[in-house]
Amino acid sequence: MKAQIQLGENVAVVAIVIIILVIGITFWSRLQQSDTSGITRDQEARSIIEIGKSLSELPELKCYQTESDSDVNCFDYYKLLSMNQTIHDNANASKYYLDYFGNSKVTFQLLYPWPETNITVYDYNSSNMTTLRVSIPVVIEKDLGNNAVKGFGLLLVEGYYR
Amino acid sequence: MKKFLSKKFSNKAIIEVQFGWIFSLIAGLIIFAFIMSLVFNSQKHANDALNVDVGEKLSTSIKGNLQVSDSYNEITMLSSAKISFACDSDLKTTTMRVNDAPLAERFTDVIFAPLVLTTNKIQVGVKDFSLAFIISRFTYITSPNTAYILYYKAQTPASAEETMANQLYDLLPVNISKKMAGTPALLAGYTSDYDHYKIICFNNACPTAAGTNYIKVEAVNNYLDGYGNVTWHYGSDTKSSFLTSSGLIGAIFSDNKQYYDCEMARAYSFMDIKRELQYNRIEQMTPDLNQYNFECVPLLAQHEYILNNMTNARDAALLYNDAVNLRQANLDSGFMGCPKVS
Repeated sequence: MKAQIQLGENVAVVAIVIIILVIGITFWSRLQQSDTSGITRDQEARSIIEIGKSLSELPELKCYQTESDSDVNCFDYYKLLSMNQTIHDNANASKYYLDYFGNSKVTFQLLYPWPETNITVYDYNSSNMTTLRVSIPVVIEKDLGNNAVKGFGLLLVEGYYR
Repeated sequence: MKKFLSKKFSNKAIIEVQFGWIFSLIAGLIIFAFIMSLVFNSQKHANDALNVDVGEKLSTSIKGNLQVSDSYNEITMLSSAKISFACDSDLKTTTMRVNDAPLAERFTDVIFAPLVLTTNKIQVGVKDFSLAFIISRFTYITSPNTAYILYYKAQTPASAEETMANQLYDLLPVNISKKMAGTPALLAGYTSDYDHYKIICFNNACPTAAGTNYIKVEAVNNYLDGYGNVTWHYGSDTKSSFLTSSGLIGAIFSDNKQYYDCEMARAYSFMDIKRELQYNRIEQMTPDLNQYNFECVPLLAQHEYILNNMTNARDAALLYNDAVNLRQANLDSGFMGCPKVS
């Protein structure tokens, strides 16, 4: 009888220790998960800034420049239209740029001397919530050879929550 | 009777105490094993996380370099790591894994690197792959303990092979270990100085010693920024074609034909997209050109014709000719004050 009571006590102690361990591990894993989601949001915000920076170096959007040209953030108007059309029409192109721009929207806003117009070159919207919106002043050139016209606009990069 | 009973109870007490100890020991061992498994698991996860973290940092540095063409950089890590590269033809990516980490970094960009690098410092070079318009930026990865030895037979006047060796020496990234070996003795010296080396030779002037591995370059008109063939002489010969000096350097940085062909297949798939972008750009500007600079319309029709030709041309010679024609059409456009394909 005494031995049975002692055995019951031991079992109870072991069970309590195991329950405490399980609760501890669950709590720790939840804490880790919330840390990870915080890091992911931070990375998403950073990636939007990186997209904005890398766009100006993208040869398929950049103005034609000679060695002496010093325009930074200069974009070719017809290249913007072409990218809009190609991504829309060609599934391979759309997949290719998904790797570069991820869940984001890239829009060029023409301000001067043309009437205010938006050209969305890329839009992959996985949710309706925007993480961050970056706007960068840019030069936009309509390159028609001798009759080239340069104007001003904004590059708008928006990121979406995953 | 009394004595017998007392002995019986004493035995029972001993059994009770022993049973208690055995139970505690078993329970203790189970808890100990559980805690130890947690410790080992967490250590494994910490190591994996560290390797993934190193991989992410390397990946960020490599992608950072991609923004500027003709750039060179060195990335130093705290300790030596085994970095493995593989080309995935199904997913159309290059994977990079640090110390066999469970998660690999994936790149859609074209990367030429040895299959395995064990080093604490990697060297990264970037060069445009262009056929009159930029198709992609190629990344080349190596380590300082790998030498690129350009072998030729020194003679007066300089042979075509020596001229090509000089051309390639200038084309290779400036920060890598590159050597010119004009004699077999120099070649033997350099091969003993480095843990890893690649011998690059030209046409038929390659090392003759049995068992020597080398990469043989045969360029049309001995011009390395054109097109030609590359042969990996590693046991048996495997041959592939190269297009432009960017492709040639890619072949030299690749350990075998399979890796090189897989990366180049991706580069050619990018070419289709970039070609379509250029074609659509001309289509988009044509209505405005008709209105403001109509003399340019027939000139740009020539660009369109060449771009259309490039669609199914997979042969290096044909693509090279298309690129030459497109550059000429660009020159004509510039002369007439018309837009160019760039």
